[in-house]
Amino acid sequence: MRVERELMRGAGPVAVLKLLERRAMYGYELLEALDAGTQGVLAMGQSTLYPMLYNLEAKGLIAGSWREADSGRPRKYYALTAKGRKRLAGEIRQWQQLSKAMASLGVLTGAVTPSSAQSLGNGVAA
Amino acid sequence: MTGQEKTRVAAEQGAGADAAPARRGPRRVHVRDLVAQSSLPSDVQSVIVAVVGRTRLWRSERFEIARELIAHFEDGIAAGREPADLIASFGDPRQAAVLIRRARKRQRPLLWWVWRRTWQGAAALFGLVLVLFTWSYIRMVTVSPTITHDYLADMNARAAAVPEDQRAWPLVREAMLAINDSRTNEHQFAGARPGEHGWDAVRPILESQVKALDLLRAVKHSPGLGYVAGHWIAPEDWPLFHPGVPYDPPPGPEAADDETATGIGVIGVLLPQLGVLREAAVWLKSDLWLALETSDGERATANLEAMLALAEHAEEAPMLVNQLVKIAILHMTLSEIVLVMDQHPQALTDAQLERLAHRLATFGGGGPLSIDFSGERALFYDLVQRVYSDDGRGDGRLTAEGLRSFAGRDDVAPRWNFLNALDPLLPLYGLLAPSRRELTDAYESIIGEAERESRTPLWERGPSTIPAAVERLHRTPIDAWRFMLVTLLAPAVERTTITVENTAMARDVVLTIIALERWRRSHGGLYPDQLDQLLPEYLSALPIDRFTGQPLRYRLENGTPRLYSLGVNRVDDGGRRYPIGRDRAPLVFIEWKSREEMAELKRRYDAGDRTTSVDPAIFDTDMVFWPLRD
Repeated sequence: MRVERELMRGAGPVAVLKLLERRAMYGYELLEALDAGTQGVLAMGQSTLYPMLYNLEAKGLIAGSWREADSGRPRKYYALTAKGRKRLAGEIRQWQQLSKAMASLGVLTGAVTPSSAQSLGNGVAA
Repeated sequence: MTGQEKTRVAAEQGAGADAAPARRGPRRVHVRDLVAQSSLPSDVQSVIVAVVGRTRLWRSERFEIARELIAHFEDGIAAGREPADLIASFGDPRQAAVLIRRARKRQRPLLWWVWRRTWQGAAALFGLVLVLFTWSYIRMVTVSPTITHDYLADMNARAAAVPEDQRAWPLVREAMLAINDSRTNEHQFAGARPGEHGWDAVRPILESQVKALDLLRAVKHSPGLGYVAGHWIAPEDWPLFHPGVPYDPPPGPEAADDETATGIGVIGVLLPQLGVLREAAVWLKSDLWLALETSDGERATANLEAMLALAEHAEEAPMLVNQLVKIAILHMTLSEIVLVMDQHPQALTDAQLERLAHRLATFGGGGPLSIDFSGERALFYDLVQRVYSDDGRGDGRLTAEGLRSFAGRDDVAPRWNFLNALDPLLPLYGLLAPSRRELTDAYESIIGEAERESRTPLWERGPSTIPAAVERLHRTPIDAWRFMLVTLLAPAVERTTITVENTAMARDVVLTIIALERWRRSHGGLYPDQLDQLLPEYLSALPIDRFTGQPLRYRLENGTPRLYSLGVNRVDDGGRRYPIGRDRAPLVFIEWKSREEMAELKRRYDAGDRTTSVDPAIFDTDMVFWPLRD
């Protein structure tokens, strides 16, 4: 299942930063990792990924460098910068808070929780 | 691709994406050459070339993106994916190019962004200016001036009303043509008196021009000058103003005196007769002294009367310049009378003195000397109606037709010629120019202030309020430019009104001096103890000290009368004479200063401030008019 564009706009860059937290990766590798690591939820096309990488690079959150791959072909690897790490930490905190909030509403499990039930009971018919 | 080209492309790749690609060589390397060098299928290559091409990025940027996309597709194919699948998952090439372009541009250096924003700002500004200019231009060219009033006819009304056979101008013209016929270097000494440099040169001219001088004396019998001013010199006047030059007719009958043509009007009117009138008065002045040498009191009196007549005739048109010439000739005449009374007190008979006094008292109709602003108003409003449209409610806007015509007039004073390079700036003038109502309101604010000030007796005036009125118009530099026409055309009345007041006082002084002499003759050679003894037989009113509003001071010193003004310090210093230089004509006045200005000058002087240009003699002296020397 793919997420809607608006959700992807927020989640995509964070996902890329998170992947690069471990090590530098190149474009195709990132695409594969996003697809495989999220069961296709955050899968994106090259026309989405590369502009995203360029934007992150422009903001100084990642840095690109050309290296020669094992095959001898040149590849551009992207690595997280210190600024990127700091931003990633902030984004993670926000996502954790968001998840918690969504969990309390039962969004993550689909169940009706006491707090959401209370809100429902105040004016919304079951 | 040839081996040489592949080598070049590879060298570019090795040098790094930001390296400047080779600029020399037989063929410039393109992105498609780089892509073609790869082992990718042609359909994939096409996608890469299309996307990179659409980004319209810098060459180095395109190369780097191409390299990255090549690597991406090669990785995908190496991972076992089908090219078609990779192409399908790539996304819309157009959208990709837009997103890539947007994102890569964000990586460009700050300087580039500054440069770009500057150009964008300049382009936006240019666009805005273009729109405004176009709008302004359209506004200016879609209206025309409407000439509704013939101000030139108003200006010439007095002259035109004088019956042709009674006009003084033909007499003046004939006389001056005769005097200036076969002009020599000696003519430059016109106005010289006996004992002065040039008198020996002037005397033979005077003696040979009796008939011409008779003509000048005859002008006193004319009810008016009768000089109808226009935009061209009449053929009969041409030799007077352009001696020795063949007559230059006007371009066409429509240009000669077409008061309705846009751009001509009152401001282009020629007033060359004023200079001739002044010159004529100067010759009469010299002849006055020749008459005195030969004890011809009648001729001397007639000369003075003729000079006064010339002064009155100068004011036939109500322009300020006419009035200034009138004042100048009048002041000249008054000075000569004082000198005659000083050097030849017996030259004129009682009857001649009485005649002269009467002529002086009735000068200009007998009322107080004042400035008439109607001519200046006519000039301004005539200009406005030739440059602005008229909406019928007193308002309108600047017209291109009017402004071009005005700027293109060669007969307008040179100071307006900067407007000749006008066309490209027309819309700018239209944008910034005030409306007709704004302009006329601004003008009235200045001229109204000038009129009010001129009506205020000198002794009641403080510092002039006209500079403040002008300053109110110039709140911003733009306003100063917008209302430039007003400040240029608003007459410099501050000095003019003071000159008029001084001349009025001079006339009173001369009337008093004549009255004193007449009294002396009829009272056994003795002068009156008080001035009011002259009333009413010899003097109709006591002369007023323009500095105080009180009668001039008078007293007898050893039987000799002393007539003086308190002067600019308004303090009676006992008639101690302000030291005017010997070469100065009589009836010269200390420069006017208001009470407030004098108090400030005195305060600063007493405090040791010597930076002002004030002559300290003004602090403890008076303006002594009679006798001329101690």
